[in-house]
Amino acid sequence: MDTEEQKFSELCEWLRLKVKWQDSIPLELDLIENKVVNSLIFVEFLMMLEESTGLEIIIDDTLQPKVASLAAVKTHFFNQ
Amino acid sequence: MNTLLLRADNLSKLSVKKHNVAFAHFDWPDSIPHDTWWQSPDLLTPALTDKLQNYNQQELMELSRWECINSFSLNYTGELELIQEVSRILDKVKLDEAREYLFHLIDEENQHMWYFRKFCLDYAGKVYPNKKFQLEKASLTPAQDHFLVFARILIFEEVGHYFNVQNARDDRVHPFIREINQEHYRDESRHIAYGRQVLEHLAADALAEEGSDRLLAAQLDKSIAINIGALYNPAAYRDAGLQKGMQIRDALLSDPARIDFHETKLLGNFKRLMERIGIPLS
Repeated sequence: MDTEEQKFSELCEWLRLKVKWQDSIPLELDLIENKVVNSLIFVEFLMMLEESTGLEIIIDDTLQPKVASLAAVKTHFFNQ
Repeated sequence: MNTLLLRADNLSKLSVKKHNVAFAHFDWPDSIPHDTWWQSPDLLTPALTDKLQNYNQQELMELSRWECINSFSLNYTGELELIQEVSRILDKVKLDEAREYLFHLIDEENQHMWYFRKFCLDYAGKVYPNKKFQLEKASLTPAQDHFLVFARILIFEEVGHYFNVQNARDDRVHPFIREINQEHYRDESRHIAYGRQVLEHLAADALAEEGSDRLLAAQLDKSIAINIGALYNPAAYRDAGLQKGMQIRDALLSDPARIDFHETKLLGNFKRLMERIGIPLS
């Protein structure tokens, strides 16, 4: 069984390959403001996040800060 | 009377004549068995590919159940967005008297939303949430904005229309699900006819500024990718008992047979219309 840490690392690696980022994506980097993701990749990222966590992600006004950076994703979806 | 107005007037008369109140129309069964086709097997996302042979009939029937729920959830969330967008521009878009038909469109879409949502909740206990999230906001003139509202609606309706027709026609599909598809198809064929006329009418103003064709094409290519991608829902694969939903999604979305299916069956009419209007899609 994967640990939360492993699942989070796999998610980061999935995103790195998807956006063709050379090194690890800095955890605090704002993915949206820095245009690391576009709308299409962002939707896939949310799907991948659902698969990693088993949670259903609802898109509403509160979502953006929770997924703005990998650090925020870790805090809100992996450390519960 | 110009062509758009004449067509909109005829469609309005049809809507009034038909005026079907969906809230009382259907005889809802208590349950729908799992071991039946909830969607035509020809419409399942692994259809046309060699991945289909990875599953037995029982697995495919279960997948048809959850892909039906996904498709009906997309109808619900898509129609909700449609009503919001049409309401937003209702008093602004340059349609003159052809605007009249929009009131019928909103009325009918409201009824569709009701029965698709009820179906998902009654027979599966859930509606898959909308996964659209707009990060980039393009700078648009009002004419471009209005054109894109109707163009996005038409993409959504053309895709749904193909599913309605195939499911209504396929006698392997559960009769109640066929009936819902048939009913939806009747209303949507009027909406599609109207939408095509509206886009031809709005195109000149939307394309007035230099570079508008490329700007609109980029927006619509993105909308197409979102609409097609939404058919391949990893949550539906997981609910059907298939592991690694994202891997299944990626493999199917990039399968040449599926890409050909999207281009010819789902998007062919829309892309030909855009080409005629002067918007070069990829």
